[in-house]
Amino acid sequence: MKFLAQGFFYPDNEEFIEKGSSALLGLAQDLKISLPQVDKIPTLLEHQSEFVRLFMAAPGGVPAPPYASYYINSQKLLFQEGLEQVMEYYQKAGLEPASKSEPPDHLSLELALASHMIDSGHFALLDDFLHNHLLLWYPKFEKKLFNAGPSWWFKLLGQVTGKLLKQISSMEGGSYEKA
Amino acid sequence: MRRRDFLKLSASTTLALASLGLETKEGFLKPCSTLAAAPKSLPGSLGAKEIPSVCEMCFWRCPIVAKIKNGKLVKIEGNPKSPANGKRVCARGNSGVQLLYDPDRLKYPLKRTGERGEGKWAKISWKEALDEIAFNMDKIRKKYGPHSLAFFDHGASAEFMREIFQALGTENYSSEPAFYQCVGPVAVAYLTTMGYVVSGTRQYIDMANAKAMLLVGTHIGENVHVSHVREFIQGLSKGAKLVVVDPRFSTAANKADIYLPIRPGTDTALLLAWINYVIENKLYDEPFVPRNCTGFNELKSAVKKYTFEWAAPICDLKIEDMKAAIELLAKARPNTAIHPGRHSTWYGRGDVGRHHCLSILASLFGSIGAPGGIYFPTPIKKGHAHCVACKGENEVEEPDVSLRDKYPFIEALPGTPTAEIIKATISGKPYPIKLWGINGVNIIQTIPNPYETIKAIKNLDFIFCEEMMPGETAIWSDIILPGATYLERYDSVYTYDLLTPYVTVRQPVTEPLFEVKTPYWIAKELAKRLNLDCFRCGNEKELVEEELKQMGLSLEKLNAEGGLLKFKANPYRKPDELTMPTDTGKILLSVPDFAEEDLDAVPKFVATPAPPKGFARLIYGRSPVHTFSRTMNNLWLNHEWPENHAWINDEVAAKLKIQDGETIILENEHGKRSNPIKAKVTPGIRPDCIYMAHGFGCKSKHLTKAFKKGASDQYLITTYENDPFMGASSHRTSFVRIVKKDVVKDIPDLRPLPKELPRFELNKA
Repeated sequence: MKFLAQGFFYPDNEEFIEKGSSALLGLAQDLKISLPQVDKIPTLLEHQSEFVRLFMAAPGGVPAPPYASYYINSQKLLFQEGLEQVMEYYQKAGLEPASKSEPPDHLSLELALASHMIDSGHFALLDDFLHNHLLLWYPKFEKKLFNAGPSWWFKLLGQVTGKLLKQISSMEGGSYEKA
Repeated sequence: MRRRDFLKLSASTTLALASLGLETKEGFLKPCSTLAAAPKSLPGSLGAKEIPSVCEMCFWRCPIVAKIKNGKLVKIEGNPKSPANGKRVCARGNSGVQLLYDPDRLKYPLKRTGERGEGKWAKISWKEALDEIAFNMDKIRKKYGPHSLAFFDHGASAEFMREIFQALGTENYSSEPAFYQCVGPVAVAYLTTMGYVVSGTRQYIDMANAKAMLLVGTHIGENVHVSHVREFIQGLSKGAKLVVVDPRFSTAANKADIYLPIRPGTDTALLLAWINYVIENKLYDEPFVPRNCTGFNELKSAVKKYTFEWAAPICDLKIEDMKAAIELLAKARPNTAIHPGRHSTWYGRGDVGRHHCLSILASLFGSIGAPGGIYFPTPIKKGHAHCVACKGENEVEEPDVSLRDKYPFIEALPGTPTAEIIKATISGKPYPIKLWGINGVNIIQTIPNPYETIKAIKNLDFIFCEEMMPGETAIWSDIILPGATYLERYDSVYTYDLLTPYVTVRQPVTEPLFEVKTPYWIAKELAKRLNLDCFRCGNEKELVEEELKQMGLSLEKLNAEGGLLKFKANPYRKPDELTMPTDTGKILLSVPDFAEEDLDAVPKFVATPAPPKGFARLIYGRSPVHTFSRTMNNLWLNHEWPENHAWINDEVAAKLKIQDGETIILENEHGKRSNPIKAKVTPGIRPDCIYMAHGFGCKSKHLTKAFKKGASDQYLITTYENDPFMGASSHRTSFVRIVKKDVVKDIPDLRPLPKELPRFELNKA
């Protein structure tokens, strides 16, 4: 889960892309997601440009805004109900984002929060978080991401995250082995 | 499945994940110190914390109160303490909420990774962005000289960056479209004749107490500046008579006692005929004029030839209507509000003269300093923050050939005409310009002939902007700096010197969101990298406190008063005690300084070319819910007014078989075509012109709600000339015809054209 959180954060080193590609393909295989045709590993600049196009600024508007508020709000505004919802979970987990450069309802931070809940064994909270917040908007995000014709890397990252969240949410409570 | 069975990872995947070292990497989260979950609270804005501030959805700067709940801005209202707008804000003022949280807004510094204008970016750190800008500024300055840097600026957000350009020694440290595409001519006319800027950002015209008002092409109610509109309505509600001169039946014309649908380009002919009539019939204020004005005899003889009989065919108006209008205005003197106008960059050469005529008319009526006339500002002495100015390098050394040389009346004004910067950037003459900085203005949708502007941009070594939304200018930049909105920052202390003076302060209602930074921080960091000794206050709050301290105030004291302190106004003068802030203390009806520069001491009528056969003149105005091209992507405002319409005279439409609401395209004299636009077929516009509201037809694909909505007037304005006084660019010198289903349709000639009005020559276009 930490890997997925990092994957949806702005890429700033080449090594993560290279090694992350293997991890991503391995995860996809383990999750029985059909593997894409991988012709090349993107360079850092290519990966950054694609990240900006998909999640930050692009002709035609940001194709897949990675913020809960965008999806849990009729006006598609940021910093709205989606953020208010997730704030309650941060408070219950006793955490907050380390940086203010993204709002707390950014996908990357929400995945980090889920990861913390798993690591610390807060499964009831995790169930609540997934069912009543993250999975209310992640599928809509994933659909938008898919429609934007993303690079294989981000397409697969979206699919792996989606399938993983779905699997976790469909399980019964109990202990959990770290992914 | 139980969680312990979940996701049996393969050995290779486990290994790959382990190799990333994520377990030891610094995490995204930390133990909670500040975040609090939203408490259950009252609905809507009830129970919200209130922060007084100042709006900047347009330049009028109405005092506001922002309502904050759980750290979120939920509503904006007018500041009830404000004597100018009270609890009222306009549609745009309300919609600041949408600007702050717009998903399309710029959130991080971006660097271009594709071609200029392509819209391909990488996110970079502030350090990298500012280092790269500083490196390029320094390199280009050393290679081509200081004047190779140019800055296009607008509004409060640009003030600090302007200091940097000035400190680097370029004469092009300011080039404000707000001046060169808007108020320049009217500002020069009144500064010269009356000694102060009766109309610049604001207009010192007392409509609330007028007994009669004249509007020449001024669209109050379509350009909504709350206190200004209120004063207009107050005047009308108290019984003031209204004369409106406009080729289009505007919102204001709808309220007129006399409406004169003048032929575009002939306003000065009407004004000169009125001045002559007032003098010939002794309708002027006889004690006021000799005591307070100079140049009356020169004026009298110069305007003698301008009779109603001469003006009627030129203006395409009836003599009896012209006469009735001026008599109505004269009867109310001195309480006659001759509105000075605001946006005045219409035709080039004649623009200063037209506003000079309005100044003469107001003076002949003795309405200067009189209730209901032109009044005087009440200056509030504002403290000066010494920590802003740059030490040492503030003296700009003029180049051998300056871009300001051609314009004799630019001297008192800062900056360089936009058109001259663009031409020099393209030609490299009289000196090369290789770097542009842009702050707070979408130059492509503001300056005539955007094709030329884009050509100039392609010639640059480097271009950067500080912006809030990714409009056309941003997508042409090499580096974009995301600037804080007015809701996320302090700005200098703001004083209002009109009829209800006050002092107030813009203050943040939230921390800057994402990675955006305040203009002061950006300028301070950039100055450091350029080794400039500027911006010695730690932050903008310190700056504001320093300004307030010199006024005997502090933020705490001001906020205890609701964020605003009122002062007593001193707008009026007795006619026998009037001293104007000119060299002579008098109003100049005739301006000898103009004659010394081979310009007209007393305005003359100089015909602007009439539309070529088959074309109509393109005229434009404002939408009451939008500001220039800045707000079209705002969800609420977009909902109210998503696109503009082309106003077409009903007789013209009938001949061309164009239905109301039908989609057409406009083509100008250079063959440039607009986006598709819906026709508004109406008798409320003359047959020789076509009108559209300005600011639409967005070409930036980054603005999801505004892109391709309506048509852009600016992309059709490709013929312009520069005002010879101060270099403003004309905007009503382009012409259009209609294209329907790919068939070009010529505009029929329905109004006879007198010989005094030569047509624009298409072969010279």
